[in-house]
Amino acid sequence: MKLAQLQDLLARAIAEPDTVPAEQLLSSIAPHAPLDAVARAGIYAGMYRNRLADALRADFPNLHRLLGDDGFLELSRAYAASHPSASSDIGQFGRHLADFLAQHPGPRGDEADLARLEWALAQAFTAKDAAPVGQEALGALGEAAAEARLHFVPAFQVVALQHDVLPLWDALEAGAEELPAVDAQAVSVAVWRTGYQVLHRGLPAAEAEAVARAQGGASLAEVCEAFSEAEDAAGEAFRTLGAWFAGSWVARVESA
Amino acid sequence: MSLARLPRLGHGIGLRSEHFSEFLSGDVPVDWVEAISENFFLQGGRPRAVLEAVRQKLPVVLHGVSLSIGGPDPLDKQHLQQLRELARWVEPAWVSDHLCWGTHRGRYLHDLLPLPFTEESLAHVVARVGQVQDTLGRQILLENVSSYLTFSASTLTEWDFLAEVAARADCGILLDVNNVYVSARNHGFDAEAYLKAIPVDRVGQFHLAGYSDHGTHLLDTHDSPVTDPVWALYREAVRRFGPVTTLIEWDEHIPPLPRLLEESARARAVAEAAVREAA
Repeated sequence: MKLAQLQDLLARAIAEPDTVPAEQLLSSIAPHAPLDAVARAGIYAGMYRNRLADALRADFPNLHRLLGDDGFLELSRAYAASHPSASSDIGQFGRHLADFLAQHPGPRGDEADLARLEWALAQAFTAKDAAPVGQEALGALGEAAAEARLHFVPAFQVVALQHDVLPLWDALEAGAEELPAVDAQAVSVAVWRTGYQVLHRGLPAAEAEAVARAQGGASLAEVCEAFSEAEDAAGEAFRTLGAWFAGSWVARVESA
Repeated sequence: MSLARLPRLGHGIGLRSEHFSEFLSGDVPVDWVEAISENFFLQGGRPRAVLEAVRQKLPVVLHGVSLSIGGPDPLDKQHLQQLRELARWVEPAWVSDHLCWGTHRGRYLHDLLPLPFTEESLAHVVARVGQVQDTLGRQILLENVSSYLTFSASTLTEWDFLAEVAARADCGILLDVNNVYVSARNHGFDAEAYLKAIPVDRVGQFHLAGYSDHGTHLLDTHDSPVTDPVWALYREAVRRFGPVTTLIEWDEHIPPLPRLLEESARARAVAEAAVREAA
């Protein structure tokens, strides 16, 4: 058998063992007691399953706690079958897990949102570095600040969730035995990194709208209009923007 | 052609996230460190910051796990570019990866899979090593892997295959002594005969690690101390190849740094004794 055929056979025996007849393995893999060819290929298949499950556990620790060992392993196998790893970086294997869970919901129904939040947290940890600027960068522009545009650091992102899983994440993180009920309230969550610490918080609707405007390239004046419904619109906008700078969210202020 | 003379760096350990704090906060008493290339491809975050701090103090070697030099897919150009960029930045003493394959039709199997030891495989690997060395502008070292199966189609022994790859591709060998022992036990060959078949002037580095015994086979798990039979084989390796740069690999259930350093100190003692015996 040629090299390419042997590699095709072993790859299938590892990733899709049910599709490979035993006689094909027995004729291609040398026998050596006490293990036959099927058992020898099975060693690799077992390590493959465990390695992918380990990679997911590293990025989705609270989803693992929620589902338990068996449930998580079952999810890992089903996910691997539909989304084979396509990157040399095994840390990218979980990038489609939230979408997979959205198509194959778990018993609670909010598992996909928990996965989406955890994936964002994992990505923030390794996002490109960028030195944040302070609020003085805005003050330096004077009157021109209204037309300025904000650029966020690469580690900053907003995750839109269909369920508010923040209390669930907190409970799982704390190892609580009682978990909060499913909350079907949609929520936007900001995820960012300060130094090497990854942080997150839910965004009020006006702030989520302001961030979306800023990320879309709106001027600062247009960003601040997101707070127009607030009782103290100017004060609210000022305080919120101050929190963005203080939180190391902003990498650059671009003057018009 | 032959392997460019590589420095003998002494005894090192892997740069693992569990020990980042110690590497950042002070001097870790090792001669050099080995960094897993793929863990440092991303150009931001803590890994790069730690590697930057370490490379200012110690020699660094880059060791890859997913080049898939024997794989059926074309070499991953993006991977090669990332490796080249990393190597230019780190300026490592050398760059290594494994004599194996791990990708298939775009799917990454994240394992170090064995090749059939045939002339066809030889030609395939040698051509691809040439591609990698041209891209990086330097010779690479290839490591023998532990294996749990061999192919009926093989016409060469593993050691002859490894030596032939090194000679024809003009690359170096990273001789993993633990892998020699694990494969010898799994396939019933003589580990010392393996060492004797490897050309002395091609070996640039040793790896030592622990395995787990599953009764029917040994698994190369890197999760425990080096075992006595592997220490004995390492002693033989140093007698044959000299005090080649040696790494203790410990990648699962990683112990506190002092325990890892203790293992590295033992490697140094074993190597020094072997050198005295060989003199």
